[in-house]
Amino acid sequence: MQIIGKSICRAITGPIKLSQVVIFPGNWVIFPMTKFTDNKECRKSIKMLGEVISMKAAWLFLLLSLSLSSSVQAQEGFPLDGTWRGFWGVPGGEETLVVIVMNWDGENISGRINPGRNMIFFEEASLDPESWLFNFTSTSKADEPIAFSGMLEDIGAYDRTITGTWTIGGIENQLVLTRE
Amino acid sequence: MKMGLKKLCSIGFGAAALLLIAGCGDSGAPSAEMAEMPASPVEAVRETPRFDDGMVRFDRVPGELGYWSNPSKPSLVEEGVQVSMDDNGLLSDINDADQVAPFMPWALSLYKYRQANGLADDPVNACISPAGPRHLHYEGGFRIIQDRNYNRVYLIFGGGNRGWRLINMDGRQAPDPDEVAGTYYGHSAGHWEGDTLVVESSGFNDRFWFSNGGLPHTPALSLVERFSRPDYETLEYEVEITDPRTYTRPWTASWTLDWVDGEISEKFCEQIEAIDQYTGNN
Repeated sequence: MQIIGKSICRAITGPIKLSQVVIFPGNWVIFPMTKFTDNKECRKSIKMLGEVISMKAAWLFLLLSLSLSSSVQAQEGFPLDGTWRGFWGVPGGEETLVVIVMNWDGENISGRINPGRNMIFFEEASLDPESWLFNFTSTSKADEPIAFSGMLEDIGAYDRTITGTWTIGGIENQLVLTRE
Repeated sequence: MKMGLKKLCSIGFGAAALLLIAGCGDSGAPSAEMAEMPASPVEAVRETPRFDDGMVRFDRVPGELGYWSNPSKPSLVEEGVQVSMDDNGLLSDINDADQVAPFMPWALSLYKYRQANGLADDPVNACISPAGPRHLHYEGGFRIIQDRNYNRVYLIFGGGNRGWRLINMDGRQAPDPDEVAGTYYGHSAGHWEGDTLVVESSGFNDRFWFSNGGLPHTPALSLVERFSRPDYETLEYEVEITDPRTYTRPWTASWTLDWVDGEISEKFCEQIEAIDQYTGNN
């Protein structure tokens, strides 16, 4: 247990920076994947959980950590460029997938919503670089106005997010877009 | 940052071997007249090495070792601007950020974000190589190999991923950034303007930082670099940066590098923690 815990701590206190919470169910382990400042702090946290980490779970954890390490640190150019994916809907209700591809040309942010046969385009879009508040408007195929307003978060991460409100036909829905 | 590796030839000390090694003597021991000169060090400037046809030689001459290192500035900063930063490009005062380059608002905000979190998101932390002008700031040094048979120049780097960059000297042009798939090192085409090697590059991706300190860029980035060797020990480097999606206008930065004796050390980017885990080191 200690050896495995030490190894895990080594893996997560170095260049790997994780902020997600991962839950291993059953007899594995519930482990908060927070960034620790040193091994001692990390090991103490494991001990407090008092769970038994199986060898299988430990190696799975290590592989997961290493596979995430390269993606979560890669920060790129204009923070909206790229493909974003999320589900809009009201809490507890039906969720609808939305895929958005955005591009910055130096003057305007263009965007395609759900690329393919039913693709629609941004009509207006803006990003406030002081607050990282992002807005766009569009119109659905059924002529319903669409408006989105959300905050760009964790801009240092490749898989950064935009959390906001997707309003369609006057109904507000929650939407978290994650960059792919 | 400077290591003071320029060779000083102390004529007054009369050490013939030193004179020969440093290339300051003629062909033998110093004359009696020279030995009587005051013992003040005199900096001897060796001439720019050249090929037989007169072309400037940017690499070592046969029989010697050496490479370029010790940049005179730690990061890209617009020419004429004085700001204080450490060797990683971290500003001493974040309020100086807007002086570093002619940023668009989003780029300034992102640059400040990267600076404010101590450059923690630097892709080199995940072994993504530095590229562009950053390679000439990055630890490890580099060489400039002129392959005259194939009309190419190679820049081989000691730092980052110990990679190399190809500069085509066959008359082709750098591509339109919108028409090529962006790469880390971009597509480079060079030509000579007198003794200056001029390299135009474009076609970069935006998955790396092109400077210490985290100056942003987009795939619209293009560079015009000028390499010259005014004397044996000095490489002058100037780069004009154009990225109309990130900066409000083209801007220029420059620095010098020293010719350093020896071989480039072997360095590879590795996940140190993973190695420690494997070897059992703490």
